[in-house]
Amino acid sequence: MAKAEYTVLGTDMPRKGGVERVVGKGVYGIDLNLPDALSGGVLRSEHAHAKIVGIDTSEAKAIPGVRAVVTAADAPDVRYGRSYIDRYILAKDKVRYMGDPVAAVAADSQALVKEALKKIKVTYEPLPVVVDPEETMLESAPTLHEDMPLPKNLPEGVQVKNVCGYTGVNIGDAEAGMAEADVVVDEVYETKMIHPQYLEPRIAAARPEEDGRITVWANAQAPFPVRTEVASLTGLPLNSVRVISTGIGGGFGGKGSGVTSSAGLEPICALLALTAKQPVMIVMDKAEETISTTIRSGCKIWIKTGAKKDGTLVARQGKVVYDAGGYSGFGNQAGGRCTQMVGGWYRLPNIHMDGFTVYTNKQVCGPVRGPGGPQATFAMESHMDSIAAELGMDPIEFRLKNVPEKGDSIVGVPKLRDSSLAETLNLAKEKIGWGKIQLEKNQGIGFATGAWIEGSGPGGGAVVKMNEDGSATVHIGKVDYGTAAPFGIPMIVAEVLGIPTDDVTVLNVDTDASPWDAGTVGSRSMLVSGNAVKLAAEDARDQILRMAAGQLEASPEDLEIVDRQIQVKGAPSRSVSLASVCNAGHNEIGDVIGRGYFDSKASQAHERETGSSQPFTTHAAMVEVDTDTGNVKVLKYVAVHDVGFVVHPKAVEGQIEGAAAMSLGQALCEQVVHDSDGRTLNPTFVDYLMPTINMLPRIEAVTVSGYPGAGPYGTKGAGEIGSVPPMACIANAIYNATGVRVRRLPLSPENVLRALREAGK
Amino acid sequence: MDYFEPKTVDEALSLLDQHGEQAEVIAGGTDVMVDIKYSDEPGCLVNIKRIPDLNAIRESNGGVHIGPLATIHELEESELVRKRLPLLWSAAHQFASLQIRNTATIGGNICRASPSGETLAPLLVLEAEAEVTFSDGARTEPFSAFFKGPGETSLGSKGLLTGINVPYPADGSHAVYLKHAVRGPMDIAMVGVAVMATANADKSALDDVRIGLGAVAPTPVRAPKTEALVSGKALDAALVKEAGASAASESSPITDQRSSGEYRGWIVDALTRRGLEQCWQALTGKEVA
Ligand SMILES: Cc1cc2nc3c(=O)[nH]c(=O)nc-3n(C[C@H](O)[C@H](O)[C@H](O)COP(=O)(O)OP(=O)(O)OC[C@H]3O[C@@H](n4cnc5c(N)ncnc54)[C@H](O)[C@@H]3O)c2cc1C
Repeated sequence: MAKAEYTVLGTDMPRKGGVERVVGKGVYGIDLNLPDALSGGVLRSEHAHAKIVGIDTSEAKAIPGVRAVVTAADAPDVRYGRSYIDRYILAKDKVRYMGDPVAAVAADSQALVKEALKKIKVTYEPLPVVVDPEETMLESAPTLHEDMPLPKNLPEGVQVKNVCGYTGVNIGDAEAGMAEADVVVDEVYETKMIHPQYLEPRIAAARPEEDGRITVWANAQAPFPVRTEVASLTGLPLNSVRVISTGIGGGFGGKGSGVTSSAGLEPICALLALTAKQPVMIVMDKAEETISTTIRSGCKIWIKTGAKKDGTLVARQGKVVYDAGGYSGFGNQAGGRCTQMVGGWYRLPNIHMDGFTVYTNKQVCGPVRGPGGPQATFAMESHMDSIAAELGMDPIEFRLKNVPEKGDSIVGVPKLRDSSLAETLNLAKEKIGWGKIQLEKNQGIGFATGAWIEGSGPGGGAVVKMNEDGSATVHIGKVDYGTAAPFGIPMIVAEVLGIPTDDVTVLNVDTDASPWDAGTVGSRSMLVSGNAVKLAAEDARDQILRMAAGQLEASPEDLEIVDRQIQVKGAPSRSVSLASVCNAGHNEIGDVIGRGYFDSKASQAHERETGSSQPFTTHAAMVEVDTDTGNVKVLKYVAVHDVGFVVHPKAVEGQIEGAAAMSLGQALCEQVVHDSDGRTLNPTFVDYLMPTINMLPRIEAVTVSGYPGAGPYGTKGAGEIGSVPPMACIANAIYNATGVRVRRLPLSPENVLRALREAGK
Repeated sequence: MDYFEPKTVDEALSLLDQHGEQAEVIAGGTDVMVDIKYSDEPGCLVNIKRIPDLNAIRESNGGVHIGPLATIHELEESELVRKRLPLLWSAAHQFASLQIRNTATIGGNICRASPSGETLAPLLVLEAEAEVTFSDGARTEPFSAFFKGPGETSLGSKGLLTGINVPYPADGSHAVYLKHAVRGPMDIAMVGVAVMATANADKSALDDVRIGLGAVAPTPVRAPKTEALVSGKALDAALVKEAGASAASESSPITDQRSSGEYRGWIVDALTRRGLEQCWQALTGKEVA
C-alpha cells in the first residue's frame, strides 16, 4: 500500500550521514577535538564490596601537569538514581562492584592521567561479596545498601533482603487454574550478564564557559536526563548546563546514561572540568567499559504452566530474580518488564508472577535493547515448547491454539485492537520450511515468538522551521544513532511538506535549543518524535497554505504541496512556489515555525478505549548440533515481524537483523564471566566472545502488514523486538535436533554438550 | 620505555644481554601490544622485525627451514608449506583473522609458548627443531625440550629463536589439525589436536601415529600412550573410542573463563577420535567400522 499512497514513505532513501560513516569521517563522539582539552580518567574500585576508609590524593595532585583530582568529597552531598536514589557521583563510604568509580583525574596527557590514577591511595576494608542474585536475598548475605528500604509494594510476609524492586502479576486465580490443568510443566531457566559492546567507546567532554555555564558533549542516548544529572551532581541550575549530543557509534541502551543513572561519566567529567577550570575529555577504554558500564542483566526464572489436553493454556505461576547489580540503575524497570513477559502474550486467564530485582556486587543494569525481554522470552518460549512436547503437540499448532485475538487482554495490554501473532507464526513456519524440509541427523528447527508491548513514557516535541527556499530545519529531542532521526523523521517531514528529503535537515540534539525528550530508548523514536514531527510539519504546512490561499484565490483545504510547488488540487497550473510563500512569510507571520507534540497520555487513554495494536514476531531457526563437541551451527534464520507501517524498509530490516544478531550472540557465546570475588574474568575482546560473521546465518527479515500501530502512519517500535526471540528460538531448534532442553545460557558448546551428556545422549 | 630496532641478530642479542629481564622482544606484536596495554610496560622493547632474512621459508636438508619472522599468512601462502607440511598449513589456515595472520609471526607464536598457540602441537608432531641463539652461540633443540611451561621456553630472557627446521613427514603420511573454539578460527583454541599417521604396506593398519595436544597442559604435549595404543593396529570403533579416552587421560587441562577442564577433556577425546578416523579414512580409503 505504501508506494501508491505516499511519495516518500516506504522508499529506501539513503541514510542521512551514511556515507560519512562508511568513509571514516570524524562523526563520532570519540572524534571530538576540543582545543586545550585535558585528558580525564577514572579510578575504579579493585574490590567488589568494601568500605572506603580513606582516600589520599596528595601524591597524585603533586604530579606536575595534573590539573584536577576529585573524589566524592569534592561534589555536593547529593545522590542520584531512578527507582532508588542510591548512588553518589563517585563512591563515598563504600564501593559496591569492581569498577565502581572512586576518584577521577584530569591532566595534560593520557600518560599523566594513568600515572596519577596509580598514585591515588585508597584504603579499603573489604566486606563479604555476593554475586549470586538468589543468594543476595538470603538473611546470611551481606547488606549492600544500609539505608535503602525494601520496595513498598512487596507482598506481606515475604522475607528478603537486598531487594530494590518488586513486580507482581496477578490475573485470575492461578492456584485454582492450575488445579484444572491436565498437564503441568515446571521449569527453571537461567541467563547470564552480557555487555552491549557498541564499538565506539563512551566519551564525555566538558568545558566551563566564561559566563559560569558548562557545556557537556556526550555520545549518550539521553541528553536531557544527562543534563539533569550533571546539574544536580555538580550543584548547577539546569539553565547553566548545556548538553550537546555527538555522533554515536552504537549504544543499544548501554549509552542510556541519565536514563539508567549508572555510569555517571558525564557528571564526573563536568566535575573535573569545573575543578580544573579547563576543558576535559574522557574516552573510556573498551575493557574498562566491559567491567564498569551498564549491561543486560542475568536472571533466574521459575516458570510453571498448566494446560488442558487439547493444548488450551489455563494457568501460569512463576518467579523472576533479576540482577540489578551494585546500584538500582534500570534494574527495577527491566526486572519488572521481564516478570510481565514471563507471564507471556498468549491467552492465559490465570497468572501469578513474583518478580524481584536485587542488588549484587556486580556492574549495573541498563536499558539494553529490550530490557528484560530477551531473558524472559528465553524462558517463556522455551517453556512453551516444553509444554507442547509434554502434550505431544506440534509447537506451531500449540501456539496457534493460544494466540490472543482482537478484543483479548494480555499482560500489560487491557485490550487488543487486533493481533498479528498468528500471521507471524504461520509465515515463519512456511519460510523456514517446517514439515517440508528434509532434516538430517542432528538437525532441527525451532520457533519462538516475541512481543514488545508499547510501554508508557513521556511524550516529546518537535519543531519544523521553514527556510526562505522552502527547505526545512527540524528540531527533535531524540539523537541520531541510526534509528528514526536519520531515516523516518526527514521522510515524514518531506512527505507532509511535499519536498525532497534532501531539503530536510534534522538537527543534532542540543539541550539549549532542542525540545525536551526522555531519551532515545524503548523503541519510541517513531512513536514520540515521529508523531510530534508529523504534527509540527502539518502545522507548518497549514501556515503555508493559509498564506498561499490568498495568492491563489482558493481555500487552504483545496491546496496541496507537490514537489516544492503549492497548487490547487485538480488544477496544478494554478500554482505558486513553496519558496516564494516561505519568503513572503517574513512579512506576514515572521517565520513559518511548525510545532508538534506527541501527547503520550492522551494516546494511551485513547488506546485503552479502542484497544491497541501491538508488535508481535515469530523467529524460526534451523540448526545443526555437533553432538561430539556441543557446537551449534545456525543454518537458516527467518525473522517475521509486525512493526506496523514500514516507513523505511531497509532501516527496519537493519534493525531486525541487528537485534537478532545481538541476541544470537547471547544465545551462542556471549557472557560476562565473574569469579566469586566479583572480578570480571573476560574484560577484553580476546575473551569476551562477540559472535563473528562466520557464526551468524543470513537473517531473512520479513514484515507483515495490516496492523497499524500508534506511531505516525501506523508505525510501531522496531528497534528492540528483534532481540526478544532468538535465544529461545535457538534453544528450541537444539531441542528439536537432539531432544535435549538446555535451560542455561549461553547455548555454548560446553553448556550444550553438558546437557547432552546429562541426558545420556 | 626504551625502544630499539636492531639490524642484526648479534645486535639484538647484545641488547638482550645488556637489558636482561627488562627487555622484551617484539616481532609482530600481536601478543606483546596486548600485554603492554593490560599489564605493566617492559623496560624496553627490542623490535626484531627489521632484521633482514629472518622470514625465509625454504627447502633445506630434507625439510623446510622457516625463519621466525615468517608471518602466519606467509606460511598459508607458501606452496612449499601447503604441499609438504599440510599439517602446519592447516594450523596456519585456522589461525585468527586475516589481519592477525598478516601481522603475527610463527616465531612469536612459538616464543609466546601459550599452550593454545596454533602452530605448537603441529610442530611437536612434525618433530621439528628450534634453532636458538644466544650471544655465545647457536644450537638446535627439539620443541619437546624447548617448551618449559606457559610463557616459558629455553630461551629465557637472553635468547632468540632464529629458525625452525621441520623435516618432511614420511611419504604417504596423512595429518589433520583440529581446532576447537567457540568462534572457530576467530578465537583462541580451547583445544587443538594434531594427528599424523602413515599406513602399513597393505593398508591394514596405522603406523607411526603421532598425536599432539594443544591448550590442555602447561605446554603443548604429545600423547605417547595413545600413540602406542593405536600404532600398528587396524582402527575399529572400539579402538577409536579407547584412543579418545586415552588421549583425554594424557591431558591435564585447566578450568578458565573459556571452559572447564572437564569439558576440555571431552573435546580432547572427541577430536582425537575424529583425527584418527580422518587419517584412517584418508590412508586406507575405508570408514572406521
Ligand atoms: C585478535 C587476536 C587473535 C589471535 N588469535 C590467535 C589464534 O587463533 N591462534 C593463535 O595461536 N594465536 C592467536 N593470537 C595470538 C598471537 O597472534 C600469536 O601468538 C602470534 O603468533 C604472535 O606472534 P607475534 O609476531 O605477533 O608475536 P609478538 O607479540 O611480537 O611476540 C610474542 C612473544 O614472543 C616473543 N618473541 C617473538 N619473536 C621472538 C623471537 N624470534 N625470539 C625470541 N622471542 C620472540 C616476544 O618477546 C613475546 O614474548 C591472537 C592474538 C590476537 C590479538
